[in-house]
Amino acid sequence: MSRIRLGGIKISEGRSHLNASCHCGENALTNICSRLAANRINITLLTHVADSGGGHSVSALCTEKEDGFSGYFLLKVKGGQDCTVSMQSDINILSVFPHEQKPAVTGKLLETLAGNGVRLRGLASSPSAMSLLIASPDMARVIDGLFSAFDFPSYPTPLDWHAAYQGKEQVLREIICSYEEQVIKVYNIAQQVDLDLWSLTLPHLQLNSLGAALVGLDGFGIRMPFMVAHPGLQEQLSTSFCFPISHREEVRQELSRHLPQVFPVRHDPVVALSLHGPHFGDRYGITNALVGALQGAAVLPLAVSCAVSTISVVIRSEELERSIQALSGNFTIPS
Amino acid sequence: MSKKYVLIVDDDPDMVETVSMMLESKGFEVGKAYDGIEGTEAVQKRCPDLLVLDVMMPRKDGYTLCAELKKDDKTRNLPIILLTAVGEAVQSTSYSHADGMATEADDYIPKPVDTQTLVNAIERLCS
Repeated sequence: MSRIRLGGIKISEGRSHLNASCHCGENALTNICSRLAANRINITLLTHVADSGGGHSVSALCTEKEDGFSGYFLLKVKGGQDCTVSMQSDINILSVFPHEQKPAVTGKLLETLAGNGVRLRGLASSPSAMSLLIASPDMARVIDGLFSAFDFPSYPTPLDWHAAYQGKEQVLREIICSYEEQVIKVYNIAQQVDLDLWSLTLPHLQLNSLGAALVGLDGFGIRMPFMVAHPGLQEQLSTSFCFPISHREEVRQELSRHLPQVFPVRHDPVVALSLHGPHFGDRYGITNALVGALQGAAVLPLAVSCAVSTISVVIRSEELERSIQALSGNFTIPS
Repeated sequence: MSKKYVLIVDDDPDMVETVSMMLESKGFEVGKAYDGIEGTEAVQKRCPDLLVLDVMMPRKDGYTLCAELKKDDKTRNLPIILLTAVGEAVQSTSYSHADGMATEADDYIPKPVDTQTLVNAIERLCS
């Protein structure tokens, strides 16, 4: 297979990563988001799965490094005994783009991490980018690995990329704006229907096999519109992703071929909704507005990804109309 | 009739994706670049019929690229739409609306962008 061409790499450095595992409940995610929003703590990346197995929901999120302890305190103390919270500081968010929903891009990313002995701390998709959570000391190895696995026409070598990237993070921070809208405006809500949501938990050592399965699925021309991963129970990796229902058999076969000891759980039919807006990754309270709107309409998100400037939420198909109505009432959406 | 070729330059990859999907659905051919330097290279490689340019980008911002293209005889007539977060909803930024108005961009649309406004502007400038 020839190397895949990508447009670029974006890094957000110095984040804290909080992981909250709670007994499955309708309110777990809303509680987390509302506590952080009330304290003006921005969530720069979020992954959530309503049932990660064993009757637990898992929500993992990144904040600015200095907000990490406050966030940990809010989740730990106010989450009660039903909630297990852990925190890791010094995490970077590495986003590569565009993935064009090709599972091979994510598959190759996972194989690159596994091949370089790097542990994946989390993963979240947006319509254009796949964002990986990487511990700071592992970053150099990951960047070198990416240039072995992919082509970046704008940056022929890691040195070229480093030279171009130097100071970029600072500029990105300087151009962050603060919005004070009465009602949050979004550019659009995109929906992808007739999907399966697959969830599985696997040991970190099998990351390479998961990557191989995704690369294999790309060979069928299948597109993957949604994916999240975060630490699961017992030091494992929990991941959820969507594929079209029409390709269910291929997905089942590839997972079974590469991960025979892993037993995926499937929800169907589901819809993936993506809300994209200006600087969504830089502004606190947006995820809270989204999950609050859905809760008000009695819609339970099965999975959520918030990355780059998009929030994606996976819901049951029968809840689509209700969800759109709820979002339309809480966001300004172009007709 | 051949499709009009629109180049989008924005450091927000989700924004690039959203706008390109929208324009492709309207029958445009779309090129993508993720900062001002990549934008310059993309224009040199293939001059578009229209450029949609974000203002606040690392390495080379949209104002600089716009000014360079408008000074160059080869690209002077290339229609450029500037997109910027500098608007009423923004409370703090190091950029100002006045800077944008001082450039020779053909249109100037504040973010959050109304998608229909953008499409109308592109269709008008490409006609």
